[in-house]
Amino acid sequence: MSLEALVLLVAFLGLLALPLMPGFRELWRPRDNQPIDIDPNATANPREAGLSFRQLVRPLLAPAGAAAPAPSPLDAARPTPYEVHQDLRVPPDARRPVRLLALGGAEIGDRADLADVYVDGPVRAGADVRFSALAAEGDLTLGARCVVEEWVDTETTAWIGPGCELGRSASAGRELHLGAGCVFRRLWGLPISTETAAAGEAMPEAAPGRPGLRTIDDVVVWAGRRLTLPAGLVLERDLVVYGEVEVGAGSVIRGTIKAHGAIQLAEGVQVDANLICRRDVRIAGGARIGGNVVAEGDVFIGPGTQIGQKDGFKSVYATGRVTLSADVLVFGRVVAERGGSVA
Amino acid sequence: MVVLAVVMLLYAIRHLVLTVARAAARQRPCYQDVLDSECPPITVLIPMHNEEAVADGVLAALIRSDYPKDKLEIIPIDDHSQDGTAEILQRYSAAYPFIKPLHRRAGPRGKPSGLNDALALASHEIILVFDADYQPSRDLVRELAMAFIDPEVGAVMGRVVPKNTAAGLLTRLLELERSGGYQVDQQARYTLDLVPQYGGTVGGFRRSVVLSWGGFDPRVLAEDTDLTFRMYTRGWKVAYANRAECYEEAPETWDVRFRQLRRWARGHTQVMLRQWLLLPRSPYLSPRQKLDAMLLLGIYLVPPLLMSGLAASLILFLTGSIPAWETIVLSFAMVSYNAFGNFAPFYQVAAAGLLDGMRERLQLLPFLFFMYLYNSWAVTSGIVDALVDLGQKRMPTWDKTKRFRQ
Repeated sequence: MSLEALVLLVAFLGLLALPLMPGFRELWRPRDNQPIDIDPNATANPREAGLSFRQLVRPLLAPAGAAAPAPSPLDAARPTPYEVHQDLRVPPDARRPVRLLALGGAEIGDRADLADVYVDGPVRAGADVRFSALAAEGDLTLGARCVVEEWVDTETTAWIGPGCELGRSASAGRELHLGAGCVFRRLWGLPISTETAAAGEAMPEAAPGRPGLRTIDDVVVWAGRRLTLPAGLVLERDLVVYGEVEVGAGSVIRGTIKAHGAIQLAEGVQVDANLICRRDVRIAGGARIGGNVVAEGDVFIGPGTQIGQKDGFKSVYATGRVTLSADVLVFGRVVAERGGSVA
Repeated sequence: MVVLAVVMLLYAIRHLVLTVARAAARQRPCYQDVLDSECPPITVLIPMHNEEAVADGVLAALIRSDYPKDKLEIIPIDDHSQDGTAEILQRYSAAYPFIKPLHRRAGPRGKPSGLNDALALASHEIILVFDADYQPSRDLVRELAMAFIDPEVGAVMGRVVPKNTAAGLLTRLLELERSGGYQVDQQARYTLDLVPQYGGTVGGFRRSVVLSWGGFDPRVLAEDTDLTFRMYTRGWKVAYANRAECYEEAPETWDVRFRQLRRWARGHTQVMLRQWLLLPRSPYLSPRQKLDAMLLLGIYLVPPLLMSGLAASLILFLTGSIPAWETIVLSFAMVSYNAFGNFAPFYQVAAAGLLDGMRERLQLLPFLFFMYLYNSWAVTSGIVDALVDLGQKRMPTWDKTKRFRQ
């Protein structure tokens, strides 16, 4: 073989091997050979943020005891300064950039600007208060136009004033009352209620859902572009519509409605199971939904609507926006991937 | 030759469309974010044949599940095991009443037969299936089960993630391949309302639907693919839950991988031969769903087609059978195809790797080319097996994938 041919061959082999070189390095000295991380203990908890935060701060409360305030670094790795108070009193317009922990209750004046706050008792905040995050063991009251940057959670009941911004999530172990104009992404409450709704009292319960056995025969399939069900209809099965569906006033659907187009429910419709939609869902009002509402678009929930029922929980999930009117009750969860608001 | 080129081009376009759809479009969610206090009762089936090395792991993981135990039934299927599997199952069933092992000592061995026997015993409508080497996380059962609130969903599929990636080059490449297959391919097909596939494990189906066509066919090695297409041709959908992730044990040696892939190709080809003519006639599928389904059915034909196409081109070129101007056009087509077509699956894997937060391991991407050649050999062998099965009316035997966990 001539020298030229040899050089050409070596160059050819070198070019072939070139793309493999970084891989050989990775094989020789692996820097990224661990499996994709899956948390074996992961479990869906809508109050995850608040509960994790409690686990973080509760050990700090025990040694502090009554000797408050006691500022010190949270730990060596994450030196977040914090203060422990017996009862937290924040005057109006105060700015406190440290983590605040209260062994008793908390009173926060108007326009205060706070970082993370943990309160082992009830919390009452004035108007225009700004929090990074807030966890409380007792009842929680936020005044008008408060802003929560991350999340807010209480073990008991929360009253959220009008016009509040609720960050990534707002959750309550019991009821979560929302004022008009609140904006949110994720809500959890048993129930979540908007203004004037009488939580768990005045509204009659929806019929129980039908989990479990569903066979081919359970489903009515409508292949047309649009289906309009007349007022007062009673349908005993699940309904699948390839287009849009409009359900007339006072109709009762004993199963699930699934639509590839939009779903519109007129006044006073009852759906015992779920509403599942590839587009927008519009519930005119006075409806009772026994199951979940899942939409790959926006969801509008009209006044007087109840979703889920006492002694259980359901979900409203939208990849778009969720609008809650006045007098709405949702037992469980609301998720609005593109934000939600109270009308 | 022209037909071959068109088919290959279709596959290339399909890979690129799926990659772009996954990377750029708004993704369709599954039902994992739905929390519902009325969980449907579930039966979990775990086919097992000589699984003493892994049986403990999957059962312990399912016991840790946060799914309400009064709505959970677990049926491990001890399929002619000759090791300590039966004793392990007895121990668990004594301690946990919702674990009800099925010991099969008669009848043909194999996953479809085992599943059929277990379906006859199952108490519930929703069936989930896990392979014995899988380790489901606490909320996985709920995440999969919630898909069945949709009355159109006949089956659901979760995402499989290799656990033993550090074992060697093969497991690392398989992780890349799986990542592309699930994170991009399955998710994009679900988002675009095409035909995501039920994969036989980390998934589930409606018992009544499967029983409506008589259960699984023991002669079909790819019972999951068979279920997928039977579902679609009867109007049901398969949901894909990308966040319902579960660890599996990937093959660590090349011969085990070869046998696994050969079995898959054989089973897939069996299904293709049965469904090829039925799909276009289904009234439930849109034209683009039919196209995607046909391409999915023929996916195992790609490696032998590609190899024969390259061989034919080479022969034509070397024998001087192609005139000069056609050589130029052909060369341009081949270079273009190699850049954008042949490597389309690699774009898919690369996009998946980036979505999964992989960095350094993507440097192994060029090695996938060599695995592709190896896979082609295994796949071609599997297709030949299936054709011989058909010609000789031979009953295929189930070849279980070897476990490596100690």
